[in-house]
Amino acid sequence: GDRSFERKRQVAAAVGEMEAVVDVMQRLNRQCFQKCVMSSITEGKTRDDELSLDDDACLDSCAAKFKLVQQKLTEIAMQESLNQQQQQQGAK
Amino acid sequence: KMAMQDMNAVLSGLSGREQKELMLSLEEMQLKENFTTYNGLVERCFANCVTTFRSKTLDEKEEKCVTRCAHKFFKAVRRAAEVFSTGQTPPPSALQSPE
Repeated sequence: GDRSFERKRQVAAAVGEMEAVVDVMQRLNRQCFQKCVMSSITEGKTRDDELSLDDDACLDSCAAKFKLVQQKLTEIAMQESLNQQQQQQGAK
Repeated sequence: KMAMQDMNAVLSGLSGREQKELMLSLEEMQLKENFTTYNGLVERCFANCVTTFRSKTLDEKEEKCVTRCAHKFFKAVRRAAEVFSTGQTPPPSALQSPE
C-alpha cells in the first residue's frame, strides 16, 4: 500500500543522490584531465607515463577549485530559489 | 496545454496504484533532471571561468565570473520558461529585480 510506495521513494532518492555524486565526479575528471594532463601530453611536455610534478600540482588545484565552484553554486541556487519564492508571494 | 489534457485523460484511466507508480516515475525523472542541470551548470561555469591552476582557491576574477554565470543562468531559465509557456514577452529583466 502507501508504505511500500514511501519506501520506493526513499530508495529512488538514495539512488538519485549516488547518481548525482557519480555524475559530478565524471565532470570533474573530464575537466581536470583535459586541462591539466591532456594538454601537457599534446604540448609535448611529458617524458613518460607517470604524472609529472606539474601534473600533480595542476590536478590538485583543479579539483580544489572545482569543489569551490560547486559550493558557490549551491549557495546561489538557494538564493535564487528564495528570491523566486519571495517574488511569487509578492505577486499575490 | 494539449499535453496536460492528455495527461489528465491518462491519469483518470489508471487505477490508484498505477497513478502512484506514475507519480513515482515522474518524481525520479524530475530528480535526475534537477541534478543533471545543476551539475551541468557547475561544469559549464567552471570550464569557462576557471583558467589557471596555480592555487587551490578561486581568484577574484574567477569568483566573479562564476557568480555571474550562476545567477544569470537561473534568471535566464526562468525568463525562457515564461516566454515558452505563456507565449508572451515579459517586461525587461532589468526593471524587475531590485539588485
